[in-house]
Amino acid sequence: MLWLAFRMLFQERGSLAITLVGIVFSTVLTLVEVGIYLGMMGNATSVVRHTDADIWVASKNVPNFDFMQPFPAYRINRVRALDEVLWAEKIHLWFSFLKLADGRREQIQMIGFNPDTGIGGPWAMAAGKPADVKGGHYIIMDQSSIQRLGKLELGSMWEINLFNKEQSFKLVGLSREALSFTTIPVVFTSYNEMDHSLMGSNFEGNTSFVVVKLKDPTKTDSVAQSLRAMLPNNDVYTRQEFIDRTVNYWTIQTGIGLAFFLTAILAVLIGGAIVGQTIYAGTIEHLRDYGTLKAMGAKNDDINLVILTQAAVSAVLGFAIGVLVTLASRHGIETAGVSMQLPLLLFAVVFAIIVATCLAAAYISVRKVKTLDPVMVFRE
Amino acid sequence: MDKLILETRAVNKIYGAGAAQVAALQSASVTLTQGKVLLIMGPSGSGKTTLLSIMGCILRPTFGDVVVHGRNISACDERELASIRRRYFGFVFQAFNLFRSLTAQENVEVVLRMKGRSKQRIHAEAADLLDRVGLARRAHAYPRDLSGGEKQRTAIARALAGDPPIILADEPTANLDSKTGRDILQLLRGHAQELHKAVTIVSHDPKVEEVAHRVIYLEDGRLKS
Repeated sequence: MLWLAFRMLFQERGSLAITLVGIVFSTVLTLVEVGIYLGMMGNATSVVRHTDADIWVASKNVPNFDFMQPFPAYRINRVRALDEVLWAEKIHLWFSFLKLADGRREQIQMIGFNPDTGIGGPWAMAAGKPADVKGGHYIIMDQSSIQRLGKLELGSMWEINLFNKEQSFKLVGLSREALSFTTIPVVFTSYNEMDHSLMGSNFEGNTSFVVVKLKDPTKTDSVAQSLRAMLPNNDVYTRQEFIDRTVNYWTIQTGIGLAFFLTAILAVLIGGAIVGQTIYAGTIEHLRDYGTLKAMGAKNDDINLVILTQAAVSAVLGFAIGVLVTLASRHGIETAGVSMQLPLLLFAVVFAIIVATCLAAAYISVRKVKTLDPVMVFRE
Repeated sequence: MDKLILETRAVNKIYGAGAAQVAALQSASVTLTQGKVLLIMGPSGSGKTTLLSIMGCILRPTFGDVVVHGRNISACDERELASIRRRYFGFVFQAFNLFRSLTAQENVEVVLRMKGRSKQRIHAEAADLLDRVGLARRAHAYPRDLSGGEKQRTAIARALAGDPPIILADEPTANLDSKTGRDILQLLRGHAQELHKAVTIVSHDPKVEEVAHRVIYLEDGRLKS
């Protein structure tokens, strides 16, 4: 019967093409939508994920990584006083403006990190090294910013308005993969340089985050609990908690993630409807064939196998083509400045959804065949 | 003596309920023997196809028994009936009912595959059957490329596939010209005699009587002798 399923499927290429269009549409839209969502969430949490810290101390009620509030930097001393702490580092995160050659201003996200340890700094470099920002007005820009900022030439000078002071910075390195959720360009500099810039401002002596590495990472929860008691005016998160909080904020509180998921669900539903309709139409078209098979002694299970096999083969083919289309369009999408993450798990989940949708659509046809009266084969 | 292969005992088929009840078949008793052609004649709506469907274990009678190869099939479930149809029956349909995505040879192979023939034998057996109905040279043609006569020959080859003892043919000449129709009837009669098949033909065409060993008439669901 499998043989018959394949012969019927591939001989009727028109029906197959329509079915495949539905499945490819579903696959591509779902993969792209979820891939972009994951890319955005990846960007929103990239610094947290790539910083080798077990605990993040932030200002009170900080909703995500980007929306920090400054707090007194001396609180790091209380953190360092704990026996369980291997090291603790401060990280600055401020939004400022960068002046372009044509006079335009672009908002940037400036991250100040300790160049001696690299903690909180760029994790992948296209040119230069993180330590190059040490000892002066030096910056590392992410090469993904080229679209917004233009050519990024090593050694070029950039004017940045930091805490209402125009300052010139020399570009000494290019990072990779350091993107923000808001697509604002990410610029790294040394923590001390930013600290100096804060002098005289209302934020002098403040920091944005304190990140903590423990001697024994298995004690993360208990140490985080102790820190919460010690620092009642701060939020203390484990690394995963901070990632989850950031993702939850962008997904649920802003509704952006839900919008993406809704589109992905609609893609599956619309694709499923197209597939269901073509499979059902195909069944109706072959009703006489199935009736003939039943008259000749085929069991319902045999005919169900034909229909379900055709649906499953269509699902696999459509999914494979959809994956190829998605991968082929990925470069174009990312070149346009949109990040995409396509982990293997996503492919596995979408594959399972597509196959399940096709089989569910075929099940409607199976029910029709179950009630098929083989006497119909004698009618002309 | 010819061997009895199928028997219907006072079968009735009633459709609907209450005032809308229609008796499509009333107390019809028929026997089929090997090597003989039985012709069931009657006007449209007389119950010919209903009787053929009951004889072919496709339709269950409301009352009465059907005995196939000595087994009363009244208590059989759908799976058993399917198995009986696969083993004992070959069908020839008025509209040919060939699978359009399959070649003539593949149409025959479908039945052989359903009957569990080994892959090595399927191809040779299907080719042999097509040769027997004079269609060896058209084995790889699709139904859309076959004439009406060729389609019906393919359908007969398919009905003979797996060597079932009973062939049931519903109006096998209705969609054919008279010469082709005669050829098809001769082919059925020849197979009944040479291969010892019990052939039943349903038709309202009087010319079919020439090939029948026995003729029964149906009128308003009742057999007339």
